[in-house]
Amino acid sequence: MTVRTSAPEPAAPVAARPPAPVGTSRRGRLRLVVKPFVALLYVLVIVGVWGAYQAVADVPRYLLASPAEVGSQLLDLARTGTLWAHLGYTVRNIGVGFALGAVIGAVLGVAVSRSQIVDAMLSPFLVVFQAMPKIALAPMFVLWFGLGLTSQFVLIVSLSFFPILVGTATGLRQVNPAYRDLATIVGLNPVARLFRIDIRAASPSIFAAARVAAVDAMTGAVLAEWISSSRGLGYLLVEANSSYQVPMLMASIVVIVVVGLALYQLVSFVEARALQWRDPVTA
Amino acid sequence: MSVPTGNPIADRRSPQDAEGTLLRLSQITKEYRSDRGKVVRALHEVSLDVRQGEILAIIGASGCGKSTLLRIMAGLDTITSGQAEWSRRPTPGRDIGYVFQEPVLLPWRSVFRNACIAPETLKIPRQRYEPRVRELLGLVGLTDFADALPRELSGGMRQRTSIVRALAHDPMLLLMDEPFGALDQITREKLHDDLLNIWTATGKTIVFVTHSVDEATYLADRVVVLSPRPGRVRAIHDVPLPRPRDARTKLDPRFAEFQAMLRGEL
Repeated sequence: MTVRTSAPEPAAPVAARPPAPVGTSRRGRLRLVVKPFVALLYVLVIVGVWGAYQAVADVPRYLLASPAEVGSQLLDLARTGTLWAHLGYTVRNIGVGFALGAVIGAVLGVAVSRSQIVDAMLSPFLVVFQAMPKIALAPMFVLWFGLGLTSQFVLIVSLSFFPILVGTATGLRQVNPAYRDLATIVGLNPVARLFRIDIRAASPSIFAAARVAAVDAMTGAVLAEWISSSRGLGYLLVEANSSYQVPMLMASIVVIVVVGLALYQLVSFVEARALQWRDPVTA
Repeated sequence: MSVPTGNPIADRRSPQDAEGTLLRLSQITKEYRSDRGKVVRALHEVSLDVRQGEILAIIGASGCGKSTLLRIMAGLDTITSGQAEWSRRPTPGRDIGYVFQEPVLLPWRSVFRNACIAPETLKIPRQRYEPRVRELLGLVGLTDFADALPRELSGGMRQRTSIVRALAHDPMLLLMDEPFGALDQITREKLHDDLLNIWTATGKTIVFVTHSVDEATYLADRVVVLSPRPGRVRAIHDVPLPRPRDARTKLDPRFAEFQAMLRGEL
């Protein structure tokens, strides 16, 4: 999965930098200008190398399309509306599936972190479930839930809930124990403490998980369409592949990569807004 | 250092008029199990009274169980044996203000919002506690930092915020666990006077834990000396110094005498 490996890259320089003292906004502003520029440069270099290789090595058309062909294919898909129909379908499925997975993961994460019994009961099952490649389960899901939307959502949720669960449980376990005393002193009941203090305190860990889960949800959506749908970007891939339309195949890949990046950026954006209190660098 | 009457934070209760006992601890023993499963006795048959409206200092070497004693008063720890009798049982969240050793501020809340957490939890109408919180922030010199986040503050400012938080809902009992320990001398002495001002104005009962002989002598009406491992009461002393107290108090010969006596017992 190209998307999976390329997605975390934009954040890496941020994480590696030690937290700057408050008030170094000049550096921050500089980064805002430089970052998109670097990204653009990357794209240009990749497209350039790809185009040059295509031209010089004289690769057959049915193996590799040129950037121009892929570009015009993209424009075509956009103009006829095919792209938007498939894109809309996939994005909607990602959104719904991710939301479901996030809710299930968060609820289980709270349960696991609050109750040793639940933790003991759930952990072995979860470890096995997570170790199992979901792509191997996908045909079973189709068998059980049919070729429709249900099995697609099952696959998306099964991929995206787990990171959220782990992130929520880890974050909640790491909440400063003194907050519990504070909650007792000010008279917060356990439920109010969970929502007013603990989840807020755990939110950095939950957001880190959400970034991974969002990309996982996309993998799940595309995979599900690949297997059992007649719509969506995954379906577009299959169709292009089975009819040897290399430009369309590559155009679909480009769209999927862009969707993945956009998702990742969207979560990062929400995260930066929600966690302004935490790290001056991301503020 | 007396606060003029009409001070907005002054309470209906007039200071130091109630002489009764607020809390009577009898033969309190506290044991806990260490990580290796060994039973450790932190407090051994501790008996003492907390009187209404007084400032009581609990002093002792580290490991003498003084924090545990305070946590028991706050309901944060249970007792293994013994009795704690309240003349008026405090309602959780309403009657007790607690200052932790560390500020324990919520990093996503501003200074002001941190200070408001107790009255907010009690669902007191905003207009009733917000002016009071602003007043208290002013008293400890944090007016300009009301909207700042904890990470933007110095350690002393954070601790001052946590003191304001403990007072925001106007509790009858203020418990403080080495509240000034992490502060520099100048800030500490300023906060001592702030605390005395607040006490004069509101007549709260204040119990605080300290390892500073100077702090105990300057602030308290009575000083409880604990001896360590297991913690037990060695002595309880009345501080022979008049009020109001200020810089001149420290020049009083009785100030040095009392300190020397306390040091001898530690």
